[in-house]
Order: sequence, then structure tokens, then C-alpha cells
Amino acid sequence: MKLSQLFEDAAGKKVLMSGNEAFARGIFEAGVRFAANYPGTPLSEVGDYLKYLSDISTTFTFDYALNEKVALESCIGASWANSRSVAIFKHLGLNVAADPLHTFPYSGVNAGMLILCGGDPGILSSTNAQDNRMYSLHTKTPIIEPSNIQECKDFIKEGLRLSELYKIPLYIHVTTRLCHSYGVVTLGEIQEPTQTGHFEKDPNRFVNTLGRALNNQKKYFQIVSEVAKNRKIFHLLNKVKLWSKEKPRSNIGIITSGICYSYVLQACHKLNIKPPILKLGLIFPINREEICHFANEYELNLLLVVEELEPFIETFSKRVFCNFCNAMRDLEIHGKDYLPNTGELNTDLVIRFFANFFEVDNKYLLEEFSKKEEALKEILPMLPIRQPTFCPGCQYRPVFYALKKVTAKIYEEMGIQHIFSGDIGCYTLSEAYPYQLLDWVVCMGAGVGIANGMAQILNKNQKLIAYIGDSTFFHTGIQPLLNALKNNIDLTVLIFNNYWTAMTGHQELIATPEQFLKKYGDQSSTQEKSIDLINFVSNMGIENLVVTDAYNIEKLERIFYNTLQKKGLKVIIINEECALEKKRRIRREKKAELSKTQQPSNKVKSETYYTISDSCSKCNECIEFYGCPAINALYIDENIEANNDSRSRELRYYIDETMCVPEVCPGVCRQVCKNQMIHKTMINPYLKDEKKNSK
Amino acid sequence: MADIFNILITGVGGQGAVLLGNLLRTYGLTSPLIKNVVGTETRGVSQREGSVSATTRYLIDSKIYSLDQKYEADELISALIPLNDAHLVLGLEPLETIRNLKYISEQTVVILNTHQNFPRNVLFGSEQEKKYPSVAYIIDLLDQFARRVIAMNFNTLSQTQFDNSIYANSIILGVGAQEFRNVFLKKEMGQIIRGNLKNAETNIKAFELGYKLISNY
Repeated sequence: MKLSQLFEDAAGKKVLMSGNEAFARGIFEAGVRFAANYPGTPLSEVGDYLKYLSDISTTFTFDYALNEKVALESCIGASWANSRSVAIFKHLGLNVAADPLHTFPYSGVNAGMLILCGGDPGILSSTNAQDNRMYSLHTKTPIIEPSNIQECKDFIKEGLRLSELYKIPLYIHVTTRLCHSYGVVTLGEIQEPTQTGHFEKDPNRFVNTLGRALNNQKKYFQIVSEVAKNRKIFHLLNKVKLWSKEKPRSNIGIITSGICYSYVLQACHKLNIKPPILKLGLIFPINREEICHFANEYELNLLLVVEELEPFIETFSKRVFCNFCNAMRDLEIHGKDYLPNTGELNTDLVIRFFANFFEVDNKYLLEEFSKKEEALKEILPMLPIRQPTFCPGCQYRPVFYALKKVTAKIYEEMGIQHIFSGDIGCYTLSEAYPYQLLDWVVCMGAGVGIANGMAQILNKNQKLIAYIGDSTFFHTGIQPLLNALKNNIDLTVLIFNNYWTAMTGHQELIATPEQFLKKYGDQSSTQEKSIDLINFVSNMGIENLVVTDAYNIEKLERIFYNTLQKKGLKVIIINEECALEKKRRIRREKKAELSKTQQPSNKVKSETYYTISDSCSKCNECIEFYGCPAINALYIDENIEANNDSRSRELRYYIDETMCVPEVCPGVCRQVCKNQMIHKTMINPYLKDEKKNSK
Repeated sequence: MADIFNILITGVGGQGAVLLGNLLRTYGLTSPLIKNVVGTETRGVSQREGSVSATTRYLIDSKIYSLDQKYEADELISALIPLNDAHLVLGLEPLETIRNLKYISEQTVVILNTHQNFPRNVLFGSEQEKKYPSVAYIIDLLDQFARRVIAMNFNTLSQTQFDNSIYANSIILGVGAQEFRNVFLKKEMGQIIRGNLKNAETNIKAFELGYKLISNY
């Protein structure tokens, strides 16, 4: 969906949206005045949309904060000054922001405030699958969870309203599958932001010390239990699904929430069963009476709970029925004793779960499932997977190629083995073949952090290299580096300064040079100043500091070889913009320039080409060990498809023009080729081929 | 009452699976036959050359099109397709199509582009011990599971007809639309292509070529 359409004033219009688009739209419709975010899948795109909105809007401010803690704290400040605010980050970000989250709810909020947090049960793009609903066991923050795309938008508005009503923050729990799904949404009215911008002093409420904190805690807990008892809220956010007007015949009921609700509906259809379903929108706190009422009303003797990850709703339900519902003592509750507590759920898993309890008239369905699974067991493991790698022209590739050579050389010459301490960012891909230069990865900033301790303990024949990117450095990397400096530990730190938060989709950060910042409009843009990472690190007073560009393998090898043999803390800054974003930026700028002079914009691509000579000896150095995806291979005889051993066929190596990025990469593959078989040319060799073919 | 019609698109990053998914969802929003539409995309961690699949699911009025799966017309459905439940699979790449075999069953029509995209790590690197299965094997396998398989090198067809292989997906879309004429109204599909794709005229020609392809054989 076009960004301009996402924020148009068209109440009642039906549009197709992704979950992330719906969140951004909800924030817009609700008259939110301030939002802050640290990018992270599954919610990265929400920040991108809001950045656009802040550029074109006079009333809305958006900030790519340095980390999640700063993002959350900024939003607390905005809400206390009477403006609606939303903090947005992924599940892991809440660990960083957990400190204020445990205290500020005691003081509460003024204007509505939400924490929009995306979970990743399938660990599709994270390092763990923690269930953030568990945070509410000790922060007491109420959790609401949308179950479809329309609710993604509507729950932002409802959430802000509730937050304002009770003066406490609310937590919106979503998962990857909903953020990345599409559905039809009816647009709503746009509210004008509340614009007081005034903070009313109240030390008893906002200064949480000694007796005040205890008092405020009591008040806060009281409010949360009021939310739990409010029947109106229960019926506003939760829903009982019945299949017909008659009372359901089965004595089995289902409780579920979020995206799992759609799996439950689908499973009921497939199995042709019609149990009453309680879909929770308010996951925490749980309304005891209403849940008991659900069980009593439909005379349930069995309750099935469908949720991803931890048995959160299940545990609460069990507590409710054990302690409070005397009439329902013989109610059986099942959930995680059948469903997995790792990974995403899907319809198939729910069908199997239900089949244990319901009398299923279409038995063949389960047989089919088993049959299919048996068949797939033989086929799927045989299929080769497609492994991720750095983009074509990526500035990290020459770095890891050189680092691999140098560390191998040092091992050979001196018997010193290097250990590679990883961090979160594109450089995590260095674990893949052919580089394999990564020994662990834990969380943001942990690369230098873990190295801090290990470097002080290691024997002499092992040495440490820690990686960190610019965005990660400013997120949580400064303290571990300063700690290493304080102790002058024997450690080499590689800082990759690529100017962007690249892996989540090239969001700007504090280290992005001012002239590169993307601007969609001339309205409020939050980032006014950039900080030069090289300057910043230089001022720390690190003795062994080297700054280098990335596209010269010989130079990199020299620097690595010299630096790695030194003692104490060494820092090497690889100063090179992300190749992918640089290519886009150059093309954008060229296009803008051409349009100024009113020339046709079809000549924005570079006119340099790299080709591989026909007399290439196929030593595989470029294609296998350097591994740029732009260098590719084709079977010479394309028409033979049915042969069994693909490896016996002859390959022709070529450089894929559509992937090669000559405007960014100066042809590093030529430095790699020992036989000088890769040539630079200004004539498009592919154009000639195409003409030949068409004749 | 309504029925669900499930479309799965499988391919490699950059082949256009995401774009095709979007196109079909947009069609779902505008077509008079379709009551509701959902969908999702599954992308790997890799920005390039990774496995990609996209789903589109229509809720269609049972009076118009019946598949024996009765739902309420305004019902919310999950974006993921249940096991065995795909009706139409647009396989943009052979290996990625059999990777999604779990959705293919006796009710599935598979349109397969036989043009292979070899993962580099099969040719060089970590997956050298695993082979890329032959296209003949892949078609055989699909035949065992699916109701109907239409396999062809659509890249070559597009290259010979339009001097460029990028129109292959539009031809595939045309073949799929012809297989399910009740779901895909030709005129409306043309409008969607015109409104959403670059080089719309050639894409419509490619779509029409695909639409007529099977009856011409």
C-alpha cells in the first residue's frame, strides 16, 4: 500500500493492509502525538511508516531512539506532558526497557500510552522466543492482543482510550504471523491530537521514593484489579463465538486469543465441531467472574486452551477454577499437555489437539494427515536448503574473506587460534559457508560484553575478536567497550560502521551522516544532528585504533595481520556504507538530478560492467570462497534436465549483471582472481547477447 | 454461506512471489464474487536467493462457486493454508514447489515453471552432498499428490514471445486463471494487472497468452 494512501482521510473505505500497516494507521487515527521505536522484526515497518508520517505532519513526532529503553522512557515523558504516545519494539527490546517498565506504572500515565511489542514464537528472525506476556506477572501491565488485521488498528484506539480512562500504560502483544499477514480493514475517523503539552507537578505521584512508592504501588495494584472486574471492558475486548442460536450440544469449551483464534475457527470447520469459543482480547488481568460464567453458562466439563508458547491463559484459567469457582470443581482443563510450548501453532496442530477430545465424524482427515506426514518425511530432508549470505557487493564480504585468510595464517605461523565473538546485525551472517567466522551470538551488545570476561581468562594460545555494528554500538555497545578499555584487556574489536540499521530495512540512526537522511516532507523531522562514530571512538582514548575502508583486500589483510599481533585493546573501524543502501541512494540522487535537467530517467544505472573471461580456469576462488552472489554458474547444456548427477555436468561461470553493483563495489572479485580472468568494461556485454538471441 | 479458495505461490526471493500475492489479494478486494480476502508471506532471513512463499485466501459466495467447505460469509479465516488445502499452486521454481508439498493434494492444480534456480550452496559449498532433484522427478512427485500439474518452461516461452523472460509470471497467472474461470474473471484480472504492474500492456498480453495456452494445445 502506498504511504500516502495509508494516511489519507477516508473513513469507511475498505482497504487491504498488513498488520504493521494497520498499527501505523491506528496510531494515526487515534491522534497520537509522539511515537518512539528501535527497529526490530516483526515490527520494523511500523517505524518506517511513522517516520513518513512525522515528515508530513505538523502534529506528530516520531523518533528512532537509540535503544528500546530510551524509546520507552521518551514515551513516558510525552504521556506525562499530556500527549498520547506509543513505544514500539520487538519482544527482545522489552528486556532492555524492562527497568522503567517495573516502576513508572506506579505513577501511571496522563494521556494514553501503549507499548506495542512484537513477539516471534517461530524464532524466524530473532535469537529467542521469550513469551512477553510473562512480564505482566511482575509489572502488572494489562495486555491486549488483536486477533485480526482490523483489530490491529482498532485495538490501538481502544487501548489508548482504556489507558486514559485508568491512567495506566497498556501493553499490546502481537506475533510475527499477524504483523506480516494481510486482511481487509475499514478505515476510521481521524482524531485530532490532544495538544496540551503541559506537565502538572505532583511529587507524591511522580517521585517514587520511600513511602510514596509503596503508596503508589497499592494504588496501581488497585487499578489493575478494577480493570479485571470491569464487565464492560471484558465484553468490549473479548468475544464469545457461538455457531448458532441454540445452546451448543457439546460440553467442551475453548479459550484462545490472538492469531490462534483463526486457527481454532479453521480447525472447528475442518472437524465439523461447534464448541463455544471464548476469544480473549484482554489477556491480563483476567476477569474471574466472566470466565466462570462462560463455563457455567455452557455447562462445560472440559476446557481447551489454545495459545502459543507458555501456558499463560491456561495457568490463569486453572487458578480461577481451582480457587474461585466452587461449582466447577470437576472441570478439566487441557492445553500445553497436548500442544507444544515452542514454535508457532497452526491449524493442523490445533486439529490434532481437538481430535483427542471431540467425537470426530470425519476420521479420514487425521489418517490423511498421517499419510501425508509419512510421505513428506522421506522427501523433505533430501531437498537442499537455500542458505542466506551477504548481498552482492556487500562491504562485509571482503572483510571476512581477508579475516579468514589472516587468522588462518596466524594460526599456521604462531599456533594462535582466534575466537570470534558475534553480535546482532548483518555480520552475524559470517557464520555461513565459506567464512564460518562466528563462535556465538547472544543479544545486542553481548559480543564485546562476553569477550570482556573471556579475554581475561583465556590461555595464551587463544585470542578474541569481537564484532559490533554501528547501530548496535550506540544501542548497548558503548559500555562493554569502555569496560574493556578500563581494564585494557587483550581483545580486538571490529566496529562495522555502515551508517544504517541495515538488517531491519535501513533505518537511519545517530551515525547516519546528515546529508544521507531520508526526508519525505519538510515538516517535523526529529533527527537534527548526527554523531560521527569515528570521532566518538577516537575521543575514548583507545591507543590502538585503526580506521579503514572495506573494498581493498590487501590493505585489510595488512591491517588485520599487524593489529591482531599487538597486545591490549585494539579497535578496527570498518568505515564503509551499506552497499545495498548506497546503491539505492546513488540511484535516487541520480534520478533526482536527471529530473531537474528534464532528461529521461532510464540512465540511472552504472555503465561499468564486470565479466569473466572464457578462458577462466574455474579455480572456484571467486564463486566458492569469496562467494559473491553476483558471480554465478550455469550448466552449459541447459536442455538436459533429466540427468541424475548434476555435478558431472559442465558449468560456465558468469557475472549476473542484474545483481552486480559496480556503482558501489569496485570489483573486489578482480582482487580475488589470481589469474586475472575478471575484466572491467564500459560496454554492456549483455546487450550484445540479447540482440544475438533475438535474431 | 461461503467457500474458501486457497492460492499458494512458491518461489525464490526476487522472482515476484510477493508481488503476485499482492496482485491476487488486490483482485480479492475488488472482485464482486469474493466476500473476504486474507494472505501472508513467509520470507527467510536472507534478503536474496532465499525461499519465499505467499498465500492468498478468498471467501467466495457458495452460490457462485462451491468447494464443499462451508463458512459464514463474513467469517474470519487464518492467513495460513491448512495441510493439503491449496486449490491453486503457482510454482515459480521447481525445488521451492516441492518444498511446499504439504499443501498439495487431490484438489490442487499446480502450474509449474520448470526453469530451475540452483541454490549456490548446491553447486559450491555447504549443501554439495545434496542434489537438486531433476525436473522429471519433481513433476513425477507433484503428479502423485496433485489433481493436475501443468509444467512448462515459462521463462523460455516468455523469452520467445516477448523478448524478455520477466513476463513468465503473467503467463503463469493466465494459465491459473483459465483453470479456475469461476474465481478469476478475465476482464477484472486485466484491470488489476493494468492498475498494478509496470509494462501493463505486455503483461496483459502475457496473461492472455497463458489464458489461451491450454485450450490451444
